[in-house]
Order: sequence, then C-alpha cells, then structure tokens
Amino acid sequence: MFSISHPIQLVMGLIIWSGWFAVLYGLQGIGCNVAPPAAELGPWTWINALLLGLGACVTLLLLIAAYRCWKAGPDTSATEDSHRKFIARISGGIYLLSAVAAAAVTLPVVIYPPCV
Amino acid sequence: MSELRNTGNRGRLEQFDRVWGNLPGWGQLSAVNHTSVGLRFVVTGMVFFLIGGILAMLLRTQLALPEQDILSSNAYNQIFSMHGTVMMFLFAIPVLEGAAMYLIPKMIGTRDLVFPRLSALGYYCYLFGGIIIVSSLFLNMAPDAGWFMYTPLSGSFYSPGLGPDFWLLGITFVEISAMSAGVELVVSILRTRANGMSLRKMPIFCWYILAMALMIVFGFPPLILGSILLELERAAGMVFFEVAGGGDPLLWQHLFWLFGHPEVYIIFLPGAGIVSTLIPVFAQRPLLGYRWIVLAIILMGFISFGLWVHHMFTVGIPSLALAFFSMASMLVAIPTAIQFFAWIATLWTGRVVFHLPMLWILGFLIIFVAGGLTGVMLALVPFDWQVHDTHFVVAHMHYVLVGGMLFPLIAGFYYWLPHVSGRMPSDTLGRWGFWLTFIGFNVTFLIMHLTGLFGMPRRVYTYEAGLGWDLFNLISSIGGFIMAIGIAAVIVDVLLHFRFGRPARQNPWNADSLEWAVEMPVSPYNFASLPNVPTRHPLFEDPALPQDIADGKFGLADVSHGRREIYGSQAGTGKVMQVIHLPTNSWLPLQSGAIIAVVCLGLLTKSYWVALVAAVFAVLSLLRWSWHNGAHASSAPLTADERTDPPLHSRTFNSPGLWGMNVAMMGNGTLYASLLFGWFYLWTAAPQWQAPQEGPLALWPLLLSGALLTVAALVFRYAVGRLRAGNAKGMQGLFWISSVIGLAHFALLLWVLLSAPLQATELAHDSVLTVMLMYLLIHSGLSTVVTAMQAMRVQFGYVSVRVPYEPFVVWPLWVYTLAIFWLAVAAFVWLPMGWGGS
Amino acid sequence: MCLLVTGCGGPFSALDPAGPSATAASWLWWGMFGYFTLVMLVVFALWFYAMHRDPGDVDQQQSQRLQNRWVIWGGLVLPGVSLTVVLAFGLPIGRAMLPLPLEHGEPLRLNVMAQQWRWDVSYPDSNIVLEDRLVIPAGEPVDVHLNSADVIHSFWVPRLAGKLDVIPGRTNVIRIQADQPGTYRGHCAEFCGAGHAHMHFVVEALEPEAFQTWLMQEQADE
Repeated sequence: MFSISHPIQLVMGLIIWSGWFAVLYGLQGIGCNVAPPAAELGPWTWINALLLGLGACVTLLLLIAAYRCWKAGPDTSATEDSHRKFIARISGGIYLLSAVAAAAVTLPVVIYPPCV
Repeated sequence: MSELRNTGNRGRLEQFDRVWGNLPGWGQLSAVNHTSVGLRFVVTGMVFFLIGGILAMLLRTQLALPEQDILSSNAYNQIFSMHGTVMMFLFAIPVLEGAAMYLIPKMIGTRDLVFPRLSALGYYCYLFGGIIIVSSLFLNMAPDAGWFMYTPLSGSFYSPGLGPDFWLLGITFVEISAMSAGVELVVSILRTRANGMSLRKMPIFCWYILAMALMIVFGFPPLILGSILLELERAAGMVFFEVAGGGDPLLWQHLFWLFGHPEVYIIFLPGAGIVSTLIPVFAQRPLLGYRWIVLAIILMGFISFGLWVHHMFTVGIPSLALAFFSMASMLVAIPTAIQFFAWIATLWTGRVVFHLPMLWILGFLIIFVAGGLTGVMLALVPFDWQVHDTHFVVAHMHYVLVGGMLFPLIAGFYYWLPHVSGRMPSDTLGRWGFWLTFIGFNVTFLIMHLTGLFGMPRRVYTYEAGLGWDLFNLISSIGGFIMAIGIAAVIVDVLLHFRFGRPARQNPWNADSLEWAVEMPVSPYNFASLPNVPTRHPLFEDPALPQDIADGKFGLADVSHGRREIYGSQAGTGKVMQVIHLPTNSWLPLQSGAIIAVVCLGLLTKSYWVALVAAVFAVLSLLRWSWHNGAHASSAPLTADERTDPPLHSRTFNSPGLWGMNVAMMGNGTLYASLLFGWFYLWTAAPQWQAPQEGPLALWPLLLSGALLTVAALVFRYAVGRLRAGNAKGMQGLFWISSVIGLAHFALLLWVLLSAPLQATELAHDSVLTVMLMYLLIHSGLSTVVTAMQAMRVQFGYVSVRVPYEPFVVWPLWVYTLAIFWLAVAAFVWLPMGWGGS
Repeated sequence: MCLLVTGCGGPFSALDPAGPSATAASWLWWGMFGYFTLVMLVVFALWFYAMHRDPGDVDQQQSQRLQNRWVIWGGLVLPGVSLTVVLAFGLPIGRAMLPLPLEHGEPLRLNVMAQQWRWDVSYPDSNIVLEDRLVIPAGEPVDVHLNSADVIHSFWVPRLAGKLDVIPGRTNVIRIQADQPGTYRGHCAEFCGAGHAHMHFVVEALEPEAFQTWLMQEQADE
C-alpha cells in the first residue's frame, strides 16, 4: 500500500490535504470558542501561530512525498513497467499540487485575525 | 440492420439477442439492461428538463417588466423553488448518470453494468420520486422556500404546508437512485474492464465518470442526512435547526452545501468528460495531456469538497475561516485551466473537422470560460459580499451549469445519437438550434451580471420601476424566449432524425473508443465477444475490430448456456480474473421501487402506519432480492463441470459484491460522519446549546450491548476466516450464534434507547442522540438479519466452500457496525464525560 | 460599458459606491473585470487559432513537449499568477472591511432587528426606535448589530457596503459608512418568504452636527 505504484498514491496527497483542511477549519472554530484572542491583536495570536506551524509541517510532508514519487518516475524506461511510471508521475503531481494547496489555504493566517 | 451482421454470425447474434434482450410488452418494465435503463434515465431527465424550462419561462415572463402581477408572490416562490429543484435533482444529475450508465460498459468493453437490478431500482426510485415532487406543483402545494430549503423558513412554523415535505421526502427518494448509480458505476469501472485495459489505458471519459461516481458516493450523504433531520424536525418535532432547543439553522446550510458544492462538480465532470472525448475525435488525433487531465480530475474531485462555505460567505463566519474557503475556491481554477490547455494543445496539433457536435463544444468553451472567471471573482470574499444573492450569481451559475453541462451534453447527444438510432442528425436544423440557444443564452445571462451589480437581489417576484433594472430584465426575458426556441429546434431535430436522418455507417465520426465497435443501432449485449484492449485507442489502431468482435473471435463468445456473462478484472491492471454472472430481467426492482414509493407517500400524508407496513414490505422485498443470488437456482447454481479458468465470481472471495459493499459503506460512512459533524458542530457552535447534567444513557447496559456486538462480529469473523481456509464445518452454527448474539445486542441497545429519559422534542442534544441510536439500531438489526440469512443459505447449499463469496460481502457490514458503535460511544458518552458534561 | 447604458446609477447600484467598503468592492470589480476579460479573450483567440491552423506533421516527442508547455504555462502558471494578483489585492481589502476596533474611539452602534418583513432599528443608550429607516452620521464608521426575530434575512445597502446575513440566535456585526450625506436604499438580500421582495429600508446619512441635533430632538420627542 505504501509502494509508489499502488493506485492509492493517486489520492493520498489530496486525502492528506483534505484532512489538513478539516483540521484547519475545525481548530479555528474550536479555538475561537474556547479561548478567543482579542480582536486588537490582529493575526498575532496563538491560533494563527499554531495553524501556521501545522500548515508548514503538512506542506513539507507533501513536498517530501512529491519528491519521492518524482524520483521513482524516470528510473524506469518508457516501455518497461509503465503502469508504475503512470501512477508515480501522476501521484507526484498530485502531491506537489496538494502541497501548494495546503500552503495556500494556510496562508490567510498571516493576514486575518482569527475570530472576527 | 447493423452492417456487422452477416450470414456467418447471424445465428449466434440472434442467440445473444434472446439472452440479453428485454421481455416484450409490459415485460419491458422488468428490464435491467444498462442500455435500456440508461436511455430511460436520459429520456425521463429530458422530460423533467422541459418542465423545468417551462417554469423558467414563467419566471422570465413575470420579471420581464417591473411591478407585474402575472404571478403572485406565492406562485413565484413555488416556481423558482421548483425550477432549481427540477433542474438540479431531476434533470442534471439523472441525465448524466443515465448517459454514463449507457456509455461506460460500452467504453470499457463489457456487456452490462455490474449490478443490473440496482440500475433498474435506481431508475424507478428516480421516476417515482420525480413524479411525487412534480405533482406538488399541480396540487398547488409545491415547496416555496427555495431549492436550498434554508431553515427556519422551511421549518414547520414558517412553512406549515406540505411543500417542504414533498421536497425532503421526494429528494431523498431520488437520491437513493443517485447513490445506487454512484456505487454501481464505481464498481463497474474498477472491476469489469476489458482484459488488459489497465487504469492508464481507460478512455478519459471513464476517469471523469469514476470521479463523478465517487463524488456522488461522498457528496450526497450529507444532504440525505440533512433531509432526514429536517423532516424529523418538521414531522416529529425534534430539534436540530431550531435555536431555542440548542439547534442551529447554520447546520442545515453546512449540510446542504457540503452536498451542494460537490454537486456542481458532479455535474461539470461528465460534461468535461464529453468535451475530452469529443475534441480528440474531431481533431482526429489522440488526446494530448492524458496524464495531466487525470491529475486535474483527481484534484477537482477533492478540492471541490473544500469549497462549500463559499455559499455561506455572508452568514457571519469569521473572516479567517472564510479566507480558507476562498483560497480553496480559487485553487479549483488550476485543474480547470489544466484541462482547457490540454484541449487547446490537442486542437493545436490536430486537423479539426467541424461537425455539429463541435459547434456545441465551441459554445461550451465560450460560456464556461466566462462562467469560470466570474466564479473566481465570486471566490473573493470582499467582492462576494456585494454580489452574493443577487442576479450576478444567477448569471454566473447559469454560465457554469449551462455552459459546463448542457452544452457538452447536447454535443454528446448529437455525437452519440447515431449509436442509438443508426442515423445522422440534420446539419441545418441542428445549426439553427445551436445558434438560437447560444445567442438566447448569452442575451439572457450576460446582461444579468449587470442587473446584479445594479443591486437586484435574487428570488424577488417583482421590483419597482425606475431602479435601473427595467431594461436589463426585459432583455433577459427576450433572450430567455430565444433560447427556448433554440432548445425546441434541437428537440425537433432529434425527434425528426429518428425518421428522416440518413443512415449512419459504422463508426461515423472515426472515433477511437470501443463504444463505436458495437452494432448500430445498439444491441442489448454490446459485444458478441469480449476482446483484449491493451490500448487507449483501439479503433484507431484496429479499424477491423468491430467485425472481429461481432464474428466472435474473442472471449465469452458462446451464449448457448443462456446466461448473461461478462469478465471481471483486476482494478489496477485490468487483467481478467473471473467471469461475472449477471442477473437477467427481473420484476424485483419495480416491486421494491413501488413499495418504497408507498413508504414515501405514507410519510408525506402522515399515514405513519401505512408507511411502517410498507417499510417492512420494502425490507422483505430487498431481502428476497438478495436471496436470488450466487448459487440460487435463478442465478448460477452449482454444476458438476464448473468453469475454472477464469472461475465464476461467486466461486471466489473477491466478488464485485464485496466491492459494492465497500463502496456503499464509504457512502454510509459519510452519512455517519455528517451526523458526527452535526453533533460536534451543535456542541461547539449552536447559540443555545444545552446538555443535560448527566448523560441520559445507561452506561453499563450500553457497554454490555457493545461487548455483545463485538463478540457477534468476532464469531462471524472466525467463521469467515475458516471459510477462507477452505473449512466450512460448523459454519451454519457459527452464523446462527453470531446472529443470536447480535440480536441480544440489538435488544439491549433498544432497551437503552427506550429507557433513557430523552427529551427529543425539547433538546437538540437528545434529538441528535436519538437519531444516532436509531442509526446504530438499524445497522445492528441489518447485520443480524443478513447473518441469519447466511446461516439459512448454508442450509440451502447457496453458501459453501465452493460458493464462498457471500460471507465476505457481509463481513464489511459487521466491521462497519462495530466501528460506528464504538465511535458513537466515544463521541456521545466518553467525550462529554471527559469534558465535564458541557 | 455600464456608463453607456444608464450611468452607473440606480439607487441600489454597487457600481455607484458612496462608502469605503462599497468603493473598494467596486474597484475590485473593475480590476477583475478588465483583467479577466483580457484572459478570456486570449483563451478564445488561442482556441480559435488552434482549431484553424494547419498542424503539419507532429511527431510523438514534439507533441509531448508541446503538451507540457501548454499545460504548464496555461494550466499552472497562468492561474497561479492570476490568483496571486487577485489575492494580493483582495485579502487586504477584505480585511479592511471587517468591524475591527478603531484606532481612535468607538464606532457608533445601531441595533437592527429583522423580521418578516420589516427592519426595527434602535439606538443603544437612547430610546429612539425607527422602522425601515436608519439615521447615521456621514463620514463616520457605524457598526450595525443584526438580529433576527424569525427567519434568516440579509442586510444590504449596496452603495455603502456588502451584505451580511441576519441569523436567528446570533448577532452579526457589519460596518457601514457613508462618505457624503444623503439617502441610501437597502433591502433584504436573503430569501425570507412571501414578502421578501418588499423588505426595503433606507439609510439616511446626515452631517455629523445635524446628526447630533437629530439625536437630541428625537430623544426629547420620545
């Protein structure tokens, strides 16, 4: 299942992204319920810092996975074992774009106050 | 008759006709064949499209001039609610499902979908549900709270009539059909492809439909749950969305749009799939960027689940949260752009032949690009705050839906018509139809952006003169009627062509994919023999393939045994590993669909006894259905000379039924997850959430009940493990034991529910808990009953070492029941205990 | 374009802004409209040219290169750059619209209770009550606190600011500001039943001194 040519790789990057997205939205909501920071602080609050830190970790994780897939792609020649190459190439792209997406959805935490 | 039939193969093909054909006369109603069912979906959907279109014309007539009173406010509200409902639920989704059901088996080189009776049941649920919903219009009690049914307006206090009930029950009924089509398409695409058609050799359309079907499986359950909850609130007085008891109207919006946004992409993906299929054909070269497009499809499938809050930008959610969704909404532009530029690259390197379908593709391009760009604008929160709920959004949405779905769909109709009729459409009338529709559409909706920017809100039945909206509205109305004439021309063209079109030759567009290798007009069995397809463009590479298939040169060419058979293959590589024996024509789907319709009508008219009795019959009917399976005499009974290479699917552990069960459980799990979401959402966000001081459930009986469930599942697991090792000794006894323990668990859990001091009509807390317990009870009961049935089937010899597949289908149900039970205990009992009861 | 039709006027026109939020939103509109029209025309032009050009002979390798070039530039770079530009403007503009604490002083506060189908307006610290009418000082930010007595409504004065829904059980706060004295019309933007189309109101912006006088008079009258 963790092999680079397993079809699950095609969606793993986005499953991680979806998970992160849910956590992002959930933590923001719970944070604002449990201990809402003052609006005057702007984006300089513990919620934003936490989300930014976690977002950076998720992005890094996805980038590593993308690199792993990308490296596996060209090793095989065009004719031989191209099912493996097909999965690895697309998965690599998915991981990369998932990383971009994870970074992008996290980005607003540097601008917006968390609970207003 | 088809040019593929000749004296050499006629006898055998006629044999195929008999085995795969529908019964004559009324027997047509027992048809399960995907070609028949798919076409019925499409035709029924088009009828609903016309109804929805007439409603749209009424709306445009009313709005043509200011301060008109052709329609009263009440009538207008019913009509705009029904226009949206009919177009989304009764036209767009079913038509696309139908087209997919019709095309997919042909494209992947097989003879039918993998659960034919389920296709038929889906159709009847759709038909009956649609009739129920539309009938409300004629009874003048149609829902008038919008197709989005926002609470509390749709609640029993502000909408005391039956309108919302028609909507909630009818739509849920129709959604059974969508879910069944979703499960069926996923399993068919993954498990019944032609030998050698690995994932990367699939026609691109199959990737789109695979994504669409999976999105249906994950996207519809939140709305099904929401509808059930709202109906319970309306009919039984429970509390979910009512602020006073600890509910929250925003929960409805979350559940609705959790479905509603993916739905837009569920509609768009097949449309884009048609575009990706047609462009290479008319450019006469293989599609460029296949891998990029697959990547884009997967991206879209996921990201579209992260956009739902952009329908809720103005409800007062903190801006940071809005910004997350704003980002995700914009990101979806990337996969869209990838597809567009892959299409451009294909056209760039091809020699384009400009036939009628290509004209509609061109219309798609222009309209959809414009709609996509206004979509990016709307994703920007500060701009959305201005135009949200104005006619700007109406314009945007029609650009996206009509551009992204209707135009490709009509392109597809023209493209695949010869397939169905064996004739070519008329070029002249077709062009008139296109230009009228295209011009009419743009006249209607382009100016409507400006109407919205000038401040005209949606869903107003009339407006003052002199606000700057008068001229725009008049133009829109005129455009609407031009478009209606265009659509009429298209319909006339299609109808006339069945009689006057010139006969089409085999593969009239020089297409590359397998669906053009079938006889024209289409036969019920598609392929008289099942070829190896190790390529993405079989007909480009071997134009003689259709004849060879008809001549029976490939697999499963013999039908003298009288059974409907197809190949079952591995999901990734497409290597054949079994022969799937499919059921033939059956009355069970119609019977079950009709009984479910009675349940629906019973609930609607508040005749709960009727509904209850009908529900029992519905369950019995479905159980009877499941009885006619595997080694049952009506299916594939054991014989002395069993086929072993490849074996029959019911003789293996890895049947399509197992896949169907797993996919269904994914959808079911989404429903459950939505309920958990509702629980946590209300707990953390409802303005007046109240929880009782002490948990209302008796803790130890609950845990004991859980222990019994665990034991029942383990006993079942033990029996299944032995069966896999080839040992069926005592299996029947083990199944009985598992079932009896399951029954004890069920009884205890029922007692826990009944003895708990739940105030389900007062507190949202208790309402959600009640629904959760009922959900658990349903699953426990189902696991118990089907396990008892397995024991009986061992008795009858339908389940044995030689026919082992069914217990493996049941096992995921036990796993699921076990998982939801303990998760529920954790979420509803332990977590609140740890949190201190708040 | 719209100037040609009727002027950007009309009492509900978001394109004839009279307050900072609405002005920012209208600039966003014109900016995006211009830029996206350009993008759209370029895509159309490419598509048409692609359809009509003679491709000549393209071998496997060339088409592979071509495909990657098209998709990477058109499918990734183009939307990537466009979105970055849009967000670079949009995110700060959105932030500026929020009812954040002011640097000096407190904004004036109004309470609005929406119900089928009217708006009840009240001023805290006074007993002034108005129906379907808000009176505010021009040139100053005003925070409107929104509550609903029944179903969901939406408070919208297009020439002053975007809209905000009025949700039962919650208090939503929207900041509006009129730059000049005058009368600005508003209406309910969320479908709320049979009378939705007629759920209008007006915002009267007075010179700050005139507003103080009005406040005093009204309070005396009560």
